[in-house]
Amino acid sequence: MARRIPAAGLLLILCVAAWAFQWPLEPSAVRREFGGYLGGYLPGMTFAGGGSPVLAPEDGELVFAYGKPRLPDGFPLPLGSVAAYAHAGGMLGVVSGMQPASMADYKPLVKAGEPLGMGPEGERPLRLEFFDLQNRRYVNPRMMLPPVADPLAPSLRGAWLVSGAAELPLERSLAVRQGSYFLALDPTELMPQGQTGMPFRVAALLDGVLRFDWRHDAAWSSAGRGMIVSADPRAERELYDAAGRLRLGPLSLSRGRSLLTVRLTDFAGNAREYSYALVVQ
Amino acid sequence: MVEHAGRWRLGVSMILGAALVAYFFIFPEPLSSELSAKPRWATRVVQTAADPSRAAFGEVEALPFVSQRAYGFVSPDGTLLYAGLGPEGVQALGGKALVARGGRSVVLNADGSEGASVPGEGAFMAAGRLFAADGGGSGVAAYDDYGVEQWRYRFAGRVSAFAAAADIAVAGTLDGKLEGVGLDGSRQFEFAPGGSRIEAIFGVAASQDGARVAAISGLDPQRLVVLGRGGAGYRVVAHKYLDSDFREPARVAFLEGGRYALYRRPDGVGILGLDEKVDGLIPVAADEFRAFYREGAPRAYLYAERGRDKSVVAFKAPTLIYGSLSLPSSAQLIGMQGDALFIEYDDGLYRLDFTEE
Repeated sequence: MARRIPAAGLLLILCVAAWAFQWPLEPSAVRREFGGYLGGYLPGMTFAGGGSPVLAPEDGELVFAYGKPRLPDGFPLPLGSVAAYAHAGGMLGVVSGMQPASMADYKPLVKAGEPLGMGPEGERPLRLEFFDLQNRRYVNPRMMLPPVADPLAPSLRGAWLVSGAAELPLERSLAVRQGSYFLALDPTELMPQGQTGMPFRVAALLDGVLRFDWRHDAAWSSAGRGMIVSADPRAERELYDAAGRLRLGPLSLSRGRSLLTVRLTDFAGNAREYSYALVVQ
Repeated sequence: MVEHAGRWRLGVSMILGAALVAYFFIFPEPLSSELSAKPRWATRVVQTAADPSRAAFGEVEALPFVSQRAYGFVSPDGTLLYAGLGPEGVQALGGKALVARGGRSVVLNADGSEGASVPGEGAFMAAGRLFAADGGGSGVAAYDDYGVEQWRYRFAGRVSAFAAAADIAVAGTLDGKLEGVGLDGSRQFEFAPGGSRIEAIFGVAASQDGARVAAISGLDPQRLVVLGRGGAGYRVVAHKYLDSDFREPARVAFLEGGRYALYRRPDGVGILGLDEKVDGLIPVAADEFRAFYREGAPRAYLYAERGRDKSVVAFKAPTLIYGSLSLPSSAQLIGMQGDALFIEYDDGLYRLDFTEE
């Protein structure tokens, strides 16, 4: 029950604020989706800066801006600069990586669509995060930004059954010993501009029964641990393995034949399924 | 050849020293008649090799320096213990220098030898301890003296200020919370200063013993909040509404073991007495400042900078000002030891001593 209250609050905020925001850069500049692995869980999305103006996603008030790679006390700032704006509905928008000299940190108030500064040149990343101040969690920016036409379904670059140090690459049919396994997945969202990392929803079914259903909707902290997935909270550090693959489990396989299905769904609703016939010995 | 090199360095040092002396002569400083700042030595920064025979200097308070051009260590008597040229230097603090080499953050010892190192270039030092940013700026990892990870801690929001003491690390976040983490990585306290229309933390400090934590928080109005350790956690021991509207990092620091809190103000550096009712101002241009005080010393010093203006103020807390010394705009503070000021200026290192006539 306790975990449903923030999830419901988040849903309410998202319903009210849904798509009230606008894209700060062209959606085609997206390079990494929320939940992607960048040495850790990415609690926002990244764009190729392209030296383009970064536009305010909504009317907002400047809360904090700093254009140096480290805070005065030495704490490093990701991507060398940060600007945070308070928006209506208790949402804090945080933009990292704008060119420091271009930042509009002299303007306390900005209107939607006004330039906040210039993005970094070329493919250097600009990062956007939305932080829900009431529920104290990052939310997937795609839930806040207008939908984008997306003709492509996500793709699975690889899947493995993992037991201890042993890894079995999943093929269409595979014979395995009965026991407890983890499922290691390397999924990616496909956009016209290329692979952009974690799809919005990753689910695994065993013999048609849903075993895992992870929507990358939010990231937060609980007692110092990074947590993700509102409906089924998970510790972030348990989500990825050392190779940066998504780690689902444990999954108990008992003797007989089983059908393992991995279903990937992007934010636009495009879905793709991968099925594996397992002979469990 | 060695003798030639020695003479050449001596000559350059003398020229640099003369230039700095001329600088202070041409632009006399409004120090009190009893207090003056006298150049003691100048040393030109040249690349040196790591030299383990100089490790012993680390025990005589070697000063680390880091600039865009060079990094290394100098002894209080002007001996260049180690120097590297280039932009590798990241941070100088206490007796250590942190450099970025080969995708790692490396702590250098005073003799130039490498100490602990951690992956990535996100490491930093605070209160003599080694940390690294984690979680895209929302977390921190702590390491021991050997570079072994001790713990990781994820804060709810992005870190906007950080401080450490002997037994606690404190972060302020963009959503206006203060969170303290103990030596074992467990949460020691969480506190929301509140009281402002917009909540955020702009600066945080921890007293050396970790007993007090100060923060500048919020917008409309902005506040200075001081917490003290007591009982089961930390509680407010002082607070003050400020006239400022800083929307960027705002320094706050403790002086005299936590007896005073110094904080950035639009018109200078504020000083709030925590054991007595004192609320004063040190009128100096200071977008950023650092305070220096040695227990039992008659004076404290404040290094302040705003844009190209850099100065050192000699004072006795709370607000008895002996005088101030302007520094060249390209000078960079290395540190202070007692009454000795160390700066880097134009490829040279300098020591000036504040003395009473």
